[in-house]
Amino acid sequence: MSRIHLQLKQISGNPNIMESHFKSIAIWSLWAIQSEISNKPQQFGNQSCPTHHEWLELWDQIHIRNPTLAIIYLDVLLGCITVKNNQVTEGPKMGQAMRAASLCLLRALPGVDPTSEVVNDIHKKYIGFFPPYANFNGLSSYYLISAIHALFIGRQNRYFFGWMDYKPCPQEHAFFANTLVQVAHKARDCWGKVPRWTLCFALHSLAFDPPPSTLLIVDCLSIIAIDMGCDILSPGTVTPDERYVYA
Amino acid sequence: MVEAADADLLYSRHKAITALFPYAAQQEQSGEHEMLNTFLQTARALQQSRFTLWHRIELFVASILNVARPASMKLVAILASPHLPWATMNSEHLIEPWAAAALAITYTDNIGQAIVDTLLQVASDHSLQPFLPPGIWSLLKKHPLLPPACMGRCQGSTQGVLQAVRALENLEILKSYLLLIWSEWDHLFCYAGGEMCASIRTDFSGIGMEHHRKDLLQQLDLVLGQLDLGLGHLQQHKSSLDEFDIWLMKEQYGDLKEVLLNIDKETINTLTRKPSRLAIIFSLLTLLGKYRNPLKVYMCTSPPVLLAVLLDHSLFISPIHNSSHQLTLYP
Repeated sequence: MSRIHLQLKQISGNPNIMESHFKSIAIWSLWAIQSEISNKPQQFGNQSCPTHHEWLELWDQIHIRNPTLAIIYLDVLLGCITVKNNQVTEGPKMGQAMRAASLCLLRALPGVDPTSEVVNDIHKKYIGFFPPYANFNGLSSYYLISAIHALFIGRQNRYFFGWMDYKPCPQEHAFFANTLVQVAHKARDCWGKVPRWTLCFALHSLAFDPPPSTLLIVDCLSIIAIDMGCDILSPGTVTPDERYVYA
Repeated sequence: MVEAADADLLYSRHKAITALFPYAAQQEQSGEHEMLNTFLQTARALQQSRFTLWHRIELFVASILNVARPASMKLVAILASPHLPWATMNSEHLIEPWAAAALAITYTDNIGQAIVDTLLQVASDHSLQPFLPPGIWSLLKKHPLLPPACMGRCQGSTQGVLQAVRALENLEILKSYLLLIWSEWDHLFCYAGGEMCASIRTDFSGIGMEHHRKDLLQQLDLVLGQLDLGLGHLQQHKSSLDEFDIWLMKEQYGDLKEVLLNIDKETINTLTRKPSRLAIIFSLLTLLGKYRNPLKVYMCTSPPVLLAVLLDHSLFISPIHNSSHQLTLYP
């Protein structure tokens, strides 16, 4: 808890960060922390878990071009956990904050320019904290953290994880899927390949019974299409229910 | 149209292709067949290049083979089953529900093709073979027409599979198995060749097996006839074939044909020998005054006895002692 306050303090003291951005992550983190403290989910809109629309709206608020924010999300995330002998454990009542920071970080990473120095800074900070064979078993945000870990060290260390028990609330699932489309796109641009754990995510999600929402299906098919070398029209040029791809 | 020639591209995309399978299955359930057809076509192209789907498909296949799922969903699993990586998946627990679904489903040519292809693939893996229920082998008797590129037929000619089929002690199934794997599209696994010749000599020799041998010879003639058409002709349907394959197949199937023809010859010799021996016996009987017009005559070699049904329906049984060309009768 005190760590989160410290991180927020650091963020607030950083003059380079625009106030609106700080507010966004602060609001989200505080919402998460309050949920933990009160042991009951805080109202967000009219629902206990933000709707898909609210997730995206929230993201719009914190969708920052300034890549330094990715470092801040990482700072928040690192503040929530400890590592001892490769075993990663989350601090008490840090689950929601960790989840929020992980989602933000995962969402922000594809937006970071791979040639910028920020990438090196983030990478150094990450590998300085997490050993390559870190064990995330037992974390409430196991899949989110594993996805981040795979992005940072996966290619060099052939880190892979499955999605066998991944059953999030539909809103988080859809938000995560949407984020992984960006990850897949960026990965293909950088490495020429989509990470196999994102394909595994698509496979796992499409296999849900009953089938997931149409939006989620579209995102999963987008991940597959990106791996097959198709280009997908950027959001805004088509309506969400249109599925245009260029082979 | 996906071509097998794009092997590298196909392999690099096999995970993405696999990830589409649940969606194709969903579409099929909604009555839209195009997606599943395209998926299966792509999976077949993968198979032509000796690749399978991604092993991560295991959980989904297990879920759709579940007892509670509708038959239409199981049909999807059956059709995709030849393309699954049985050897690399954790497959043991999938075989029983797969076999149950295969035996329960309404048979068509496409379904039979998929089942037999899968059956032979699974049987060729010695760790998976014990999980196959014996009843599933009876589907071989349906004689589905397997495609030129068929992993099951290719892997199904191993010694282990042949032994498993022989262990069933069912000649019809054994014959059906041989008719399926003898093909101009695949040579036999080296070790299976000798075992196969031995099997033919043991299992299909003797009087009363002529119709089986005729069917087997007919298939071998067909295969050898196709091989005589040359590599160019066959490559139109299976581009991976080369001159060595053709040479090897001609050798193997030629050997098998020779074995069958030899058995036929031996059988004819036996048949032609019998009347002469009988003639000797009856000549002797006549000389001894024991002969009466027989209705039917049987000669048993083990124990060596002569059995004659006479006109008054009485039986004449006599042990035969035959050594150094000397025949002794004990009336």
